[in-house]
Amino acid sequence: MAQPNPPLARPALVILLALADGDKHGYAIMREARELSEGQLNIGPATLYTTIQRLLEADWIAEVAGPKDSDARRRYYGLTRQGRSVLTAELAQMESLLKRSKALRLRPSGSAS
Amino acid sequence: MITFIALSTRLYATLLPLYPPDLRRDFGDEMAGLFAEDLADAWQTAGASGAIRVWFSTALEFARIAVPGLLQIPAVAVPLLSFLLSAAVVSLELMLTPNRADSAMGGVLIGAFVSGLTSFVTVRAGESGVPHPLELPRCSKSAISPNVSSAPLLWIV
Repeated sequence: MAQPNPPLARPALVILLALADGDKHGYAIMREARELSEGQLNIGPATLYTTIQRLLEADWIAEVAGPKDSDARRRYYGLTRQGRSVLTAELAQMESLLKRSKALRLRPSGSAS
Repeated sequence: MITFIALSTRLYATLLPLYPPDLRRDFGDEMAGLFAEDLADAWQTAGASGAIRVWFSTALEFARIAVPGLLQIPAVAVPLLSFLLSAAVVSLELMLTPNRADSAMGGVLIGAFVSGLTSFVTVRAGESGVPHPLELPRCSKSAISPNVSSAPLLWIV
């Protein structure tokens, strides 16, 4: 029986999610990550690139060519097929946990359904 | 404002060598560029408080990512440990003799600093192959006359 993946660390999850709608450079990933976490996760340069380094090693993201008119000094990153499937699996797992918590009436009353 | 960002970026670039070597090698330039961009953006949108937030987050990151790596380097860990131990021991001694405590605090710090500095010099000298002043000179067994072999305690190893 296949061993389920351990839950992704929050910065890795947010970076994968930030790349889900297209390739981005470091600063765009950082801004998107802050927006996605509603300011709760403050990713700085070292955290961002340490996580990017691990994601590159795991082949979940890859360095890609940027748009034609982009700054040549910027490096762009995109989600790989493997990275997308890991992200999808992680989100499915989170959704199932949310459903379970909702059934137990553990979700905060103000949160969206 | 530009001067502050330029100075901050320079300071961040000075801190970069303290991050793990592989991270610095692969992403050092990007990290410095991203820090400058983030700082400029934060200053533009939130002023000084935004800049403080960026520096605070950088300090936390430094403590979480750079410091653990630095503590594995003997030239950093040994002097730090020596400094802390010296400061602790002398402070304890002063606490036990309270009438000396007021005037001797500077002495504690200077003593601990000297201890840390001595450890640093010793470790760095050892790493670069420079013999310690208290180390006895090395010589090979073949250089010692056969007569000496009867008195092995005199061998300088």
